[in-house]
Amino acid sequence: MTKTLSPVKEPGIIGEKAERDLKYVGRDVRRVDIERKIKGRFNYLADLPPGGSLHARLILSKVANGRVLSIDDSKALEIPGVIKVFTPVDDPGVRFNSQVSMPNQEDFRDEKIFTDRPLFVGDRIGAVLATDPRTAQKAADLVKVEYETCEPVIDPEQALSSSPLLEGRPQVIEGRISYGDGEADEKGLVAVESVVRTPKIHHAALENHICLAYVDYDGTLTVESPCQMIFTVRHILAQTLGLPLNKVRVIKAPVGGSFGGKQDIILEPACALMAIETRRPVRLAMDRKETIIATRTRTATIGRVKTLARSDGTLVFRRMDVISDTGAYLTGGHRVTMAMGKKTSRLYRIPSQVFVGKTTYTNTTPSGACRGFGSPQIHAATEINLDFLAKKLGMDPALLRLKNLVYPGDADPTGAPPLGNARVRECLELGMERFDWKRRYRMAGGTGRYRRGVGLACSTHGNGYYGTPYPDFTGMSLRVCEDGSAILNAGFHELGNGTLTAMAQIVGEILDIPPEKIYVTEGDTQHSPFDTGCIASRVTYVCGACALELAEKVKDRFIRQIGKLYGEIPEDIKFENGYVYIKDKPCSDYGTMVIEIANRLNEEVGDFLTYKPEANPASYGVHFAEVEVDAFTGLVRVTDFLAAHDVGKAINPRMVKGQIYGGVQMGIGMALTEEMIYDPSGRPKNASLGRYHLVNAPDMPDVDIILVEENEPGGPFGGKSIGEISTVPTAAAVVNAINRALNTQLTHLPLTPERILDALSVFV
Amino acid sequence: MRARRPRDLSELRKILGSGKPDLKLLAGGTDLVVHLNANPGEDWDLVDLTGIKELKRIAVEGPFLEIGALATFQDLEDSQLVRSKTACLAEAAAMVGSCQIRNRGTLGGNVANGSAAADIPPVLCALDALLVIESRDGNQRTVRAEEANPDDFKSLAARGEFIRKFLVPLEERDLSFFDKVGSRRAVTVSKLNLAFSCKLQGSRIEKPRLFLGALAPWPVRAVEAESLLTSVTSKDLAETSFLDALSKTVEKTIPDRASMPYKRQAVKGLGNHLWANLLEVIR
Repeated sequence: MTKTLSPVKEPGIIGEKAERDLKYVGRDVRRVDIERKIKGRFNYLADLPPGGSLHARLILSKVANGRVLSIDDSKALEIPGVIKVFTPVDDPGVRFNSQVSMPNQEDFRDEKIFTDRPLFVGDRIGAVLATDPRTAQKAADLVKVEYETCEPVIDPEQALSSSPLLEGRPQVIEGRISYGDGEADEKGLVAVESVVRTPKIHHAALENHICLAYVDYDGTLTVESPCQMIFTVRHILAQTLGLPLNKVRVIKAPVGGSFGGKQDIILEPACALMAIETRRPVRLAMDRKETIIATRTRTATIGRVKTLARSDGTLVFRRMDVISDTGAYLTGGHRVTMAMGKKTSRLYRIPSQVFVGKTTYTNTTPSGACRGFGSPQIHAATEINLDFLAKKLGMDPALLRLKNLVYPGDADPTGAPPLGNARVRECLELGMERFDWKRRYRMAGGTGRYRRGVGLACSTHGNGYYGTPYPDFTGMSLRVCEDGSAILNAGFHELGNGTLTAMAQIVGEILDIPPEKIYVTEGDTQHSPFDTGCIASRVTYVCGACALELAEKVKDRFIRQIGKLYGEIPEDIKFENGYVYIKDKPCSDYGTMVIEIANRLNEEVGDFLTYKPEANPASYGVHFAEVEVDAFTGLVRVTDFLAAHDVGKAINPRMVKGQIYGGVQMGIGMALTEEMIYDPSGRPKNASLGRYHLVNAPDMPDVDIILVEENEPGGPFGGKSIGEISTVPTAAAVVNAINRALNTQLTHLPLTPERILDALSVFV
Repeated sequence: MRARRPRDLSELRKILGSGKPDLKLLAGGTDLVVHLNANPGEDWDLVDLTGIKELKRIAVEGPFLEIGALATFQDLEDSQLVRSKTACLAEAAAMVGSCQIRNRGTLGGNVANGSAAADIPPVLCALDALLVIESRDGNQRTVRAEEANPDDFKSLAARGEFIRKFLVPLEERDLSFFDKVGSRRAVTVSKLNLAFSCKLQGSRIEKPRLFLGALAPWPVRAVEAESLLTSVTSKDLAETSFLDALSKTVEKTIPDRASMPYKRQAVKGLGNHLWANLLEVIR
């Protein structure tokens, strides 16, 4: 089926000037990996033929809260091809946290490679190692584990007052962010309070979790992993297995989708432990069920929001009390909670705010990083609340927002980095016009079987770690080769979103080389300069800026080298399309020049740069949704959609749109269908894609897109992030549209048919 | 695990005649293969039916449309015969799973697998189709779809039997209808489905056959709604009472199920859609 592609909005003044001069940036350059991926010739780890390695299958806990009393592996060991059964006895005894990237970070270390104290159904008890995957799977089913079971805690509100699930670990972590004069006197103000629940969500990357580990000829532990942070994988492997960092080599393997699900370190320690123990290469793979129940999820949240406003809609005060369910282990759970709080001071001008976040544990799949890192959850809580406020004030919710949105250059009242060239107002105003908002908003409702409504939501997200407790810097080297091609060596992690292509465009623009002639490496801890990781919406803004500055540095050096060779001043040396011109006369191609510089100057044409960002501006997105609700069946169709995004500058507009289409799809899933459900004993009830429902192509609306390109200072060619923000406002926009269509105040996501019919009171 | 792939019916009969109690029949495999992958420890003696051409035949035979058990959903959707003679069967087939599933999944498999949420059984019931079950000695027995017992299918192969074909009566139908409610519009398993057929005599509805699927192990006949349709002439029919009658069937069938409140309401969505179709033909 074809979806309408919208034209990219004409760029603003700054962009327009640049646009004329740009050759590769701002163009729909073909992705470097597209042909192999389309033709099925792009090999992922799972495509490696069996053989050459042993295959491991995890033994996962069948109880949600308990203790392992005994393990009988005799039946498993009888099966021909089984090499070894690993159990908690083989655990090195070092607890770790799957998101800690540096030893000084204080997040609780509560996880073990193999545990005898399982805290959720799917916790790693052990593993079976065999000559082939089927034998390993068969044998793992035959390992008999006896448990002593304890009462599990499933509900996050109950979890707050339950005794610690793990001995010595506080059951609740509380954090607070506030500014202003505290809560205003309600007198003369309009107050609206709401509680929004967001679900635990499976990332649903096409590729299930997988990892390959082996000990190299020189004794170096080598781990190939489809991950997002090679240096964090290295840190955790060295920590858990007691190895020096320089004897741990982590290679970023091709990723078949991550969305944050592969940001946490989950399989690598177990896989490496087995490879070291047996001195054989080991491949550890999960199937879909295991990936759903035993990796990570989006954090489920309960967000209570109270907003005070003047009768003209001016926001005066807001208090947010959020409960985050991090599941069985902390991982980055409290980081998610605090990241939620940090977003709340960067979208509207609110004189005074209090955010209190409580992270708590339940006996369910651990939460972790997931596209937006808390942002979709907090925006669901606050943007749905704002619509309730608009309703109470009798105001158009778009106008209520326009009254309060931030302006370019605004400070963050909490003292976090300023907002930068914040263009959320343009997103909203242009979007209202394109979506015909005012007319469609008035037309909503009805009493028939099919009821229509429109809704919108505004949102903000970051660009890296600058101004947070976490380090943010990156190193890269760039070299022009003797054939005129170039290599950008950096610790990248292509996650399928086009990072490598975008970097090639940036470098190609500066050096005037077609992007396909630039090879951009992915991460390898033994050979790449340090990089924080392809996370936190930092790659375009931070890594892209590094690539740009480095390319300019190399270009300058190249010019100086040519000047030295030919005795010319730099101003007379020009580059065009891989060719050197001196005083406008063609001189030679880059390759020949590189050889000459090597021979005559004993120098290479290349350089190295460590780059650290000096800002962390906000990206913005405003989504508009139209829905049609079937009042008989409770089914919702999103019938029209517009996404307006402040991206600074689209390095590759088609890839930017690709991110938005996918982000919208995930966001609609969060609003309507996606939810991991556990029974009272903690067993997951929908651990398959047959029972866990994603929004699929036939249910997707046409997605119209407006890109606001007003240049973000500090970003490469003015560009900033899109990958995470593209899914941040979606769910809230869809929920607001449904509430408009039905005249309801639904807040329990996802809005399943059952919940919708319940709200329509047909279940009486 | 063993698997054999007979090329024709006589080879199949021979295999079934070997008297092995663990034999299992494999059709499109859209459920069975998933099960096998998830349970590598299970030992199976499989008979793959997909090589037998005779089981894919779709043709008119006397007063029946004969459809082989191995006809795929895609075959049904594509067949001019099925579309013109039994429209709702083609519609139901077109709504099953994804394109990949429709290319593999078969009519016989959908019935024999015994899933309560299967889409084809209510259609067969509404069309008053016959299941033709053949045994290893070539003898055939027929079962009216409405009277079939899904438990019976679980042990077919062990008893030396297989589903040979389905016979759909070709009598004049003025309307045949199928619709379902799942969690989304396509690639979805039915939470509830509805199949219907009837004849018209002037403005009277005759011989209505209305079945609800995904409520019980086998489709349930909505007798309350049927009798309402036949009791009056079309101009006296009230949609609300028709929808309420459907709800009553749901309440009666699954009074204690947690899903009852939802299904009792959602069935009205299916009923409303059927009603719109009825109004068009009655006029």
